[in-house]
Amino acid sequence: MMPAPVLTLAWLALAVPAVYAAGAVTRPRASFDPAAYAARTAAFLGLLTAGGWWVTARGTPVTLPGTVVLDGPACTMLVLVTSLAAAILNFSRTYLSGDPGFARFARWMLVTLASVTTLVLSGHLLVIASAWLLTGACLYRLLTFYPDRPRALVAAHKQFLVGRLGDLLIFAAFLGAGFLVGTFRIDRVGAAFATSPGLADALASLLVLGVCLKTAQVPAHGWLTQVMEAPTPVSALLHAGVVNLGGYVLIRLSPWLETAHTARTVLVAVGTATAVTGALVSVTRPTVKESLAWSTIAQMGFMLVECGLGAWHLALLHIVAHSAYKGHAFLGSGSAVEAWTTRALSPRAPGAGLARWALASAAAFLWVGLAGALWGFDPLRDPTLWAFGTILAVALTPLLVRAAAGGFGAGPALGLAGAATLVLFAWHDLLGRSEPAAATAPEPLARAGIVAIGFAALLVAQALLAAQPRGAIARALAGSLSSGLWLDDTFSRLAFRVWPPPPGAPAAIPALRLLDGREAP
Amino acid sequence: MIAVAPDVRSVAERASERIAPTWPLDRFIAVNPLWGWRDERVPSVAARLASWSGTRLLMPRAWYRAAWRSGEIRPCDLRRALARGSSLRSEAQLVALLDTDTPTPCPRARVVDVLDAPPDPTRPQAWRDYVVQDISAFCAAWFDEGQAKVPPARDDGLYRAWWRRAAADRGPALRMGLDAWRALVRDLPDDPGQVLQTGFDALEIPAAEREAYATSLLLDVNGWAAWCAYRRWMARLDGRDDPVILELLAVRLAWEWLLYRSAGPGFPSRWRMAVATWAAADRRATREQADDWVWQAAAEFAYARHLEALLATPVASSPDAPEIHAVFCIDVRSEGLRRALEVQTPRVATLGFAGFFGLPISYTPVGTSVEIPQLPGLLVPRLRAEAEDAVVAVRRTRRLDAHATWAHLRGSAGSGFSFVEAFGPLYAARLLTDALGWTRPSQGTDRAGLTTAERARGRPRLADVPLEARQDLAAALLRGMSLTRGFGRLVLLVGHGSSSTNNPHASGLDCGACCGRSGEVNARLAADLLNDPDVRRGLAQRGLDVPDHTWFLSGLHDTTTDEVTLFDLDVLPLDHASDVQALTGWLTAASATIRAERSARLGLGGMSATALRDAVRARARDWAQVRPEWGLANQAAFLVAPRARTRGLDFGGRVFLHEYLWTGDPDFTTLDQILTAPLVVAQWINLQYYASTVDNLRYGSGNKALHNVVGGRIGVFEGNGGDLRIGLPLQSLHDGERWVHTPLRLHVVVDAPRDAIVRVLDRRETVRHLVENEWIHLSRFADHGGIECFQRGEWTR
Repeated sequence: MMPAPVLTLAWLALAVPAVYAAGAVTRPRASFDPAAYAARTAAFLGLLTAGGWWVTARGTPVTLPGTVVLDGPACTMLVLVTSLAAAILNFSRTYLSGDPGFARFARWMLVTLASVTTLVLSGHLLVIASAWLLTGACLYRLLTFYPDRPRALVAAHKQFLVGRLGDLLIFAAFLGAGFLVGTFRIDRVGAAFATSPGLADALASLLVLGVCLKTAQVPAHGWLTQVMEAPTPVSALLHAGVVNLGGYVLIRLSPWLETAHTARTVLVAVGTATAVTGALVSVTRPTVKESLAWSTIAQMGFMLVECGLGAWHLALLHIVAHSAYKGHAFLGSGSAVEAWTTRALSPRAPGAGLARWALASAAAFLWVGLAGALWGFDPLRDPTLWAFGTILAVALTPLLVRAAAGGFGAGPALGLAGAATLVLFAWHDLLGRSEPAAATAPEPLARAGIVAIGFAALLVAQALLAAQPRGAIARALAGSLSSGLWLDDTFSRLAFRVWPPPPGAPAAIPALRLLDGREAP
Repeated sequence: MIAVAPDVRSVAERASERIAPTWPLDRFIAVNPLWGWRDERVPSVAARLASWSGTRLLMPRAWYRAAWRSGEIRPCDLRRALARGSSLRSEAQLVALLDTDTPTPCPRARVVDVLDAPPDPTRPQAWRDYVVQDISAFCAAWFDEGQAKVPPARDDGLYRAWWRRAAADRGPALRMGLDAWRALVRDLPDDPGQVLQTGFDALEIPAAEREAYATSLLLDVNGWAAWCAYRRWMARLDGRDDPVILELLAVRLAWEWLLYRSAGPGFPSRWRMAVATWAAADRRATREQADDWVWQAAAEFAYARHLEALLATPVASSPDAPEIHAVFCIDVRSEGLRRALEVQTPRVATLGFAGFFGLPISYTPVGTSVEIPQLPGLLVPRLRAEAEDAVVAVRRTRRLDAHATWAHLRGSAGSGFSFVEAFGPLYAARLLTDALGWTRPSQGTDRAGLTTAERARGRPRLADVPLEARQDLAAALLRGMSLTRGFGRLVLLVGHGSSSTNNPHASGLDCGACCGRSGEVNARLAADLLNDPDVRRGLAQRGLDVPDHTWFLSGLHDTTTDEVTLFDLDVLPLDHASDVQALTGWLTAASATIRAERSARLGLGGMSATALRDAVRARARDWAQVRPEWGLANQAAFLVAPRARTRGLDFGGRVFLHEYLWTGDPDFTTLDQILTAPLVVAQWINLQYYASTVDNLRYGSGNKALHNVVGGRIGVFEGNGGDLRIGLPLQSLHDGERWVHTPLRLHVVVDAPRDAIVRVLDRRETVRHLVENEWIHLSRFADHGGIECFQRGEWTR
């Protein structure tokens, strides 16, 4: 017999997907928009559930009837998804008013959210995989919201191919795990694997490949850069637990992945490649939404890198931080012109040569090293610090380049560099050190090395593009980057050979039907 | 400079002159997208565009049918249109036409079209779309004005940059299966002149068809061609030239040539057959549309009937000696407010004048060094204005620098990860405050780096303008608005601006005469100028006696909320305080009246006055709002007449009103000015709305829910690619159920003698073209009452 508060919590939690589902089947009327009400109710229930869990369980994981698992990640994600969804649906109500398909749009948004929240709350591997599959299917509906747009159909088709392949891999991994170790329960599967690390690694590798496909890693990222063929709120919704679900599932399964070294190395390698490529391409994009989409791809890569390095809490923090930031950025993407006029008000910072870039990066590395040592970080005990230190130094370098230019900008640049260092150190201290992995077996240096080398390459490329934009290397690099390195083109060609998209080519113009003799003049 | 033989050059130049410019989004003034065609009659332009680009410059037949059945278009309107047009059909035949399907335009085939016929199911995309998308993606990167953090390399010209990129591009091979692409490009000249020189020959285009062919290629990438035309327009205002549009033509021609070469041995004969059908396509286009134009004219005459009836009704009496003159912009949104204000009291008289108040300025906001044009797009800034306040300037520069540093960290390639992890959570709060309207996602020129108090402090002033010139400006200003005598105690100069947020096309709702900016600066400067005692002395020398008790006051009409703000009350002479107090009361009442009048169209009907005011204020701050206001939708006529002719008449916000008293204009120079400048501005607005409505795909910018800002400010894509979209979004024209704008060509009614008007037509080719080629309907107040129209050189009733 469950104690009453726990039972109440279970009902509260399960009410969240139920409310979305109820909203989806309710017909809107002139004065009543079920989508916005459902989203607000769900956000309220989400907060209540998370609060209730915190008060009753004092931060320890609880398993509730219906294999509902409430723990830190689940509650964080629940609050994130429901509150972001409330903001997005509230926005959509005005934004899409007058669109004849609004009811259809709201319905598919709500079904998506119902399946996302089901996944978030569930502790059963097969429920998770099924809810994930349903999320992908709903996303297809949202991407083809304007079915008369051929490019939308191609993007959705790509997402369909990639997503279903990912689902297949994930189902294979979960079914394999369930049958081989005898449990589908997320809180038990990790412990059950303790005796067979080889098997755990093999199945985790399948899972990780599936996750890479579903989190838009290169070269299967193409559909994400074309999501702007659907209304703006869909792009924002991706960040409310659609494209970033992969990271969340990995976090939930972290006990399983602790010993899965091959799988985690794959995560780090694919994630680093995606983060570096995505970051470089995003700064060459001339349109606001494409730039944001490429940045999302990069951030998803970074999320997987953190998972691969075993920094699970940081990965969760990143999901929250990025979702808030990017959800806001997409909804506010219409402000790009105002942002441009604001930028135009302050004179452009003078250009810096390679020498200044080299000096600034040396200073950045030195600063991060010294400050880190003073703070008490010891990379010899935790090798992931090599990776995180490099990432921070790469991030601060442009600020130091700006500070070196002098003028009014120097003060804010140094101040901001200090603030960023402080905040990130604090996060690491709070979230990075509580990792069980660091205590049991230190991370292999190789994984941290991949990240450090990848980000160092990113810094070099960035410096070349900024310091010598007319140089031969920069020109070649910019040319390839502006085509996204043709990764998507290559991938699409191969994928479409297997499964071509629905014919979207419009009919020939009437004059040519005359020419072909198919229509009498 | 592109080196080509004169014959090819003239073909390319003539084709490129057909393309009208599009202004960037930070100064999105209305442009007639068919301005380059004004020297031809409208129906023939429409036939050409139908044949050359597949556009249809008319509404679907069902729309005319609905207007006919509902009685909006009456038989007398149809007869009037028939009498004027050249259609040989009978009335009954025309009515029968309405029940038939609207014909689909059947444009001339280019190489891409021939390749697409029959459609190849193995290609995920038609060549026609691929080519536009590819050129457009390239142009977005090449013209980028600051969205990408890596600046584009523009040093060797558009065509060469395209050629270099194409020679390395794997896209056509990978996506369209054209494996020989890179080899083919390398065989192509890397010089745009040579491509233009040899391309037409290689494609065997007959000499007589080259201009049409070149035009149709440019129309294929009309958005980017319009951006090139803008660059050329600005260069020409500056006394230079920027022929980048010719390079764009070379790129599009190169694509045709490459695809022609790639298509295999059987293709040239297919292509020759396609070229042979061009003449038939032209004929078909003319034939299919001729009768529909009678219906369009009938719809316009139906409005003219209403307008003429309205102008024939008795007007309210105008005050003999008004105590207050209130001068508003000619913008149609002023009409309602003026009417509402005059109802409040007989002590106020209102006038209409171009909202930049005759000041050809560029403006430098406080704490910055930018120069923002605040005058119509047809003119060059001749004067500089700036806002000065040393304390605010320093503070603002600091804040802008800090803001730029923040943006720098956020936007640098390698910094985004740490930025998001450190500061991303802050955006959760931002999401909330933006959604509630407490903050905005972005600030823009007028707000960024300034507190509300500081914004009020930086007072604009003209920089380095000699007294003589200021006196001339002031005199021209008063004469231009026909306000030369009978001054009361106050003259209020009201500019206008809109307020919306998260709206890429926001500046399109601001004052077009101020180049897509709020008219605040111009109104404040004009009032300042006219209050200056030295200027007043100069006015007296020029025969304009402004009494000492007259004070010029400036204000701003917010067209989204319909509130009027008054400026610079701190320098108001004490003895005018009571006048201003009374005026404020009337303005508030007038605002409430006009808000209530407009509320139905905004879906806010049936609210109390306060609730309505709060609702429109909230609307102005709502970042999800895609229809903050209806802008100039449904404008239909331009009246050049004294207010005495129209006072008290309800034009429903559809009419531009320009003050003009011909008896005070002995040599008709003011009339000449009005018909060559404000009239043209109104016509640009009118045709922008018209073209965006009838063909939103080519002359409008589509669905706002898909808008994706290109190049920082250049324009928008609908979705992730396709041509650059120009013109108005669908949401500015359509409320989801029906068109809010009725596409009608502008009716111009002038109150001036016949000869005076005809003399302007004789002297000014532009105006003559607009009238003779039926871009506008011209009429005048007849000498013994009623309205007479100018048709084929005759004045008729």
